[in-house]
Amino acid sequence: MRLMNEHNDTTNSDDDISKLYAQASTEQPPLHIDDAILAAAQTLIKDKPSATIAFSRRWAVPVSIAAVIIMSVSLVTLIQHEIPEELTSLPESVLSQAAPKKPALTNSEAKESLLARMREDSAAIALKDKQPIALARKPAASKRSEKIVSSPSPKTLVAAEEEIAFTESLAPLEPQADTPQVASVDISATPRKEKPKRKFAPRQMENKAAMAAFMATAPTPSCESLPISDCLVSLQCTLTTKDKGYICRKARNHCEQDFSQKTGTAEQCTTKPNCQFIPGKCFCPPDVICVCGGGPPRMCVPG
Amino acid sequence: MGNYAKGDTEAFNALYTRNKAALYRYFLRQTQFSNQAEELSQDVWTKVISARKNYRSSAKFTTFLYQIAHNHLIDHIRKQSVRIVEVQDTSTTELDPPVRTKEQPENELESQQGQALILNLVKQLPQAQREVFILKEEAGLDLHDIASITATGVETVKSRLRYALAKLREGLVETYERT
Repeated sequence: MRLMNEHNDTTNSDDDISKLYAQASTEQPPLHIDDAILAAAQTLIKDKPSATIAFSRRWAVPVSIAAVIIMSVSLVTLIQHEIPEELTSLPESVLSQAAPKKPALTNSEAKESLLARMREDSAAIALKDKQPIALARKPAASKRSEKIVSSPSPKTLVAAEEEIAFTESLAPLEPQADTPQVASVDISATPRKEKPKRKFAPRQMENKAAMAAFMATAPTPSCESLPISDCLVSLQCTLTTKDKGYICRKARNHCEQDFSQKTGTAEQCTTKPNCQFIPGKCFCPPDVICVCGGGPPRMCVPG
Repeated sequence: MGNYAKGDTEAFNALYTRNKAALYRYFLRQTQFSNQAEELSQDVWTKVISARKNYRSSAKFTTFLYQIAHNHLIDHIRKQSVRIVEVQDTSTTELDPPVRTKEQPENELESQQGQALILNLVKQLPQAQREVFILKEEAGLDLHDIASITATGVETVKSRLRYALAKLREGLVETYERT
């Protein structure tokens, strides 16, 4: 009973404390705070974002991610399909200029000229490959010349043969007057041998044929302006010694004509009438490190 | 609050009018400074406005409001590195008796004296006990809601409230006996 009375006393006391506190606690926030908060409440409701903005905000991140993924996949696919070939890297302007200059050929003419040129170049490469390998030290000019020489690869030869086969298949059809046959043949419908990257063969072949046409019709630079490495491979020019140095001049006779001082052999020289082969003596090409140098290169001279 | 989220500003006005004073006093008792109380209460109301879409009608608005207020107070204390020091101001504890004017009846004077005394006693409570007491007296929250807001157990809240009331009672009795 005493405990109950104590409890009741405590409860009454707590109520008194609450009442006393309620009477004492009368502070109010200042009016300017009220105004600021109510104004903020109204402003935020009025500036409620529209459905379009909410929609764009909601989809901004997923759309961005999707776009990045699509672009990345496209880029990777594109890079994988690019063929790292020298001819495909030629500027389109060069190709487009070179192709129309080639006169329209008949099927047989195209076949003969193209095959002859390609075989000649590939033979030159084969011979070059047989030479002992020296430590390469290629200046810029030399690189350029080698690039031009090595362009008709065996692969190119196969492509040219395919092209000719197709040209023959088109024999009943007359080629258009101002369309160069070599550059404009569409071989997509031609039955071909199995070969890697067939998907891109048409463009590759077109470019190579155009390059061949360009090489054939391009103006020949003067022999004097050629660097040593270019002069050595040139069939129209001859490299000779002069005043402890070298000069490149135009081939003066039938022996020097069509003889490459870099790849030409004694047999190639002596097959020409009244021609004599003189091997090089202590000649060092510019892109090779040699034991001795300064001597004359191999020559094919009348004799 | 749901109506306000739908665009009814009048609903917000009603909520604000009903709760603004209690919230302001909640901060005033905790910080002891009116300018801080104004700033904190304004911040809380701004947060309430911003969080109107997150409000769930399953919870009481006062619980929602004081949950934000409690968290904001904790942030404020941490930010300012304010250590909640128990007020040991003896000059305020021993209240000077209010000056009695000729027109004031004696019971009114006692009432004024008691109001000033209870506020000083509340100020002297430990922070945790003071918060529980204020949440009960100002916001009218029950023990469960207070426990939810302060992230403590109901028994802890009950214990803190009991200690707070006991201290207030002792302080009042002691002061009246002395005078």
